[in-house]
Amino acid sequence: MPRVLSADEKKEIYEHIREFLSDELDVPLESIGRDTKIIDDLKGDSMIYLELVEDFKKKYDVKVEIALIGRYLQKHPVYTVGQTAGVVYDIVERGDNLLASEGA
Amino acid sequence: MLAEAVELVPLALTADDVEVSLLDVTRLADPDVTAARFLTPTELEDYARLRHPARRREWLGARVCLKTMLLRRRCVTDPTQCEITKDAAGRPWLCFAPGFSGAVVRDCSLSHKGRFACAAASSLAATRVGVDIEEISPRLLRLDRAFAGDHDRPIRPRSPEERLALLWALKEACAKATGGGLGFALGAVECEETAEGRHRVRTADGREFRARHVVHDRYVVALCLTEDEAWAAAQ
Repeated sequence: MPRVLSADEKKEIYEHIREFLSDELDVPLESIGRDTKIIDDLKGDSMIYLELVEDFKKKYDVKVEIALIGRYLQKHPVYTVGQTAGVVYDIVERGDNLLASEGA
Repeated sequence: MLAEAVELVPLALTADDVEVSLLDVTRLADPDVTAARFLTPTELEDYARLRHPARRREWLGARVCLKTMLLRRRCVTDPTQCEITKDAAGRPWLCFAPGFSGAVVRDCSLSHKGRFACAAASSLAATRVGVDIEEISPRLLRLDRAFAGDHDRPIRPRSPEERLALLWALKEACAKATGGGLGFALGAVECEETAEGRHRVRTADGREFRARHVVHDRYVVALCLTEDEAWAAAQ
């Protein structure tokens, strides 16, 4: 069954992403907002996205193949913290059905 | 001479038609002075938008690396005679000032990680290139099962850190060659090492890429090549 995240759960995920990036990239939490670009503004790299996704898969016990997430990301490129939060919401809510409503 | 003032490390990935070099960004002179010397006005605007000092330095380092290669090839006589822009897929693209031909360099790719910036320049007519550099570090160990699969076949055993850095660099280099981004690298991509440092990379939909890699000072540098006649015809 698809899961539906509440507004509070989405806020929790968003805050967790900010804290994760602050810890991993050693930048002040207050400098990270929805429009912050992870690579350009925080000096993240492509692997930090994978680390984030793996972290949330464990935290929310989501079983979804990384290749499926790869196909999803080809349709939904992410640059900012807000976009990354949106991807995590979709992964947690849809799991293996990540691309089901997109004709894939 | 500006071209000699920058110290590049040529890599063994370099062949007749594709050149790959490294630049140690920690040895770049004052970044703002270097930027003013190497970048066009549009590139300087992009540089100024980067807030993180280390990100600015590596972004600049990759461009200085590529432009120094162009100076040494005599494609340009001044680094501001070419501009590194991005195409619709986000791949770097060289625009030359009037009077300077881009025929000698048909495609390019940039990468940076930690101490090093890296650039590839190709004069092959119908071949896209992608280059990626990854540090051999324990960071990759916690992501082992996330992107490395049983179908990835190295030719000889390597330390887990080196094997993972190699696989990630190969997949990222292929993603850069195609313009597929992170999504491509995370997709169903299989890497097979056919000879020491030489690889065949296959996607689930049947596309095949040639790749090579070298290790330099605890960093893996991977170069991916893929033929694309349609892309070449559109240039």
